[in-house]
Amino acid sequence: MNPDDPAWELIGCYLGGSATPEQTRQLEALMLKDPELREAFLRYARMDAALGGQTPSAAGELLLSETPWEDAPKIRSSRLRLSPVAAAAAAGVVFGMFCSSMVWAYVAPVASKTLGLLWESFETGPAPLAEGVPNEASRWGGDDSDLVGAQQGVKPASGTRMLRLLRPDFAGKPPVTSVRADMYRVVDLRAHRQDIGHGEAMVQLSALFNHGVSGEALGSDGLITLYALPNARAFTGLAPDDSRLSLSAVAMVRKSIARLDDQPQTWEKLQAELRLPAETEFLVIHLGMKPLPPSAPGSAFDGLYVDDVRLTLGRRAALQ
Amino acid sequence: MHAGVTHEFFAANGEAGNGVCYVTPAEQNRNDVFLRLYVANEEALRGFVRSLVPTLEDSREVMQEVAVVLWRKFEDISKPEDFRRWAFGVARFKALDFHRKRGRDRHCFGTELLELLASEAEQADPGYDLERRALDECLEKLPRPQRALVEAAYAPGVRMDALAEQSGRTPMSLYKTLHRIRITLIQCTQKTLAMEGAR
Repeated sequence: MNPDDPAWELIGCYLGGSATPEQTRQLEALMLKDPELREAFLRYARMDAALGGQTPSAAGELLLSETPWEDAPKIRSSRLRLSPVAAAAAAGVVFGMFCSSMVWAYVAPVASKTLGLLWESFETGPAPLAEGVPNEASRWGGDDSDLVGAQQGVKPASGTRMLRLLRPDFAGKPPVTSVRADMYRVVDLRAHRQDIGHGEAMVQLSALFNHGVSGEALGSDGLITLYALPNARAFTGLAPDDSRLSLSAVAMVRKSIARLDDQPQTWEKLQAELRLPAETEFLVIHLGMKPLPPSAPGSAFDGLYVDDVRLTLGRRAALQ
Repeated sequence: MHAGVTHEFFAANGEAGNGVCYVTPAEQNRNDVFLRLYVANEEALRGFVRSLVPTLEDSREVMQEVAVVLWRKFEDISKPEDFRRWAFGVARFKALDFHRKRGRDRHCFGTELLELLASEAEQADPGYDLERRALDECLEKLPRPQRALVEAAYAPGVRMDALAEQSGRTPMSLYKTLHRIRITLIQCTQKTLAMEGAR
């Protein structure tokens, strides 16, 4: 179909949610009798879905860098020692309900209020505990790791330090998963029960991954998981790994990159969203990386880095 | 914009954990099989749902519902080869159910066209992997400001009026610019696929 064909405009309006009833009927009539137009419509929809499924890179964030959220104070909860409510309020920004029904209707259901729950750039604080999933909120735990400055061609994405993953085998970790370094952090949401109780709360998690120029490894992967838990029992007491988190979770989401690029000067971002069931009281953030090709279980790693972990809480109405 | 290979799944287990559960090998195997099949078909399902649901945000919500149903009822399929057809059936049902729940909305297509689109999208095999790779290549070719604009516009939760203000445009101007970029990307993707097909 010719790029100047006016039907493209109608398709754009319809899939942007901005078509008037008259435009909708016009496009519908055309599509019912034109297979080529239907094919063009499906192509446009697939591309829109693919773009919408992408994770924004730093370039995209440049354009957004002046939003109130970016101006909000950074939350490094391990050292600010704010209560969860105070911390959230410090970073909270009201985006306001956007409800233009014509041109921008497709963003209308977006969160009316977004609170920053965590913004971790690993600048201060102790190294994470190498004891599996931590039993308490506000600190990282998991496999052996440390906080380091620029090295192996990798510069921290923000600030002067980043998290380096060193080993995949904290005590008690099942051997089958001891090829990947895993880090966890518990987030206590009990102060937000009112925000979550209506079933419209959404959390968004993002983290940056990179790997340095090292001896044997040719690359690495990366993953993030977010578990919504109804109580503290899923992460206290027993196995220090994540084998029971997925069974205890009332909801979970995972995203991964099968292979990071080979450029230590660029960070790659993973981002995931999760609607929180009303009974959610805790979240567990899980970050994982392993070298490629995978090394033998229990081997030490060289050059796997994570930085700039962010978690926000917002609200979006569920479909009726 | 680096797409990489990403996967996503969402599980709502329903029952709260008792704190003493471990993933059995059988459960782990089920998880792995599900994840593998879901990852292999997610792109196609996402595009399929998007073609039947008029806004991107709504299509994301429908996809979450689809993923939940697929996860909960995964035992219903007897062999992995059936997953794709079954998953498309679930996606089709959920997308059409979205319209049914909304009632007759004059901003949406009628049932006849939706059914026609669903059938054609289900039958077509556009080679999602190739198409996605071609799209990535075309994104790389975009001038940096255009690429950054696309990334910003598709960031989850972005407010288009705020984005328009930041980029010094009116919302309508931004909309038209994005539309032109999308058309450019479609043309570029088609050209790239045609060139690869000719090799």
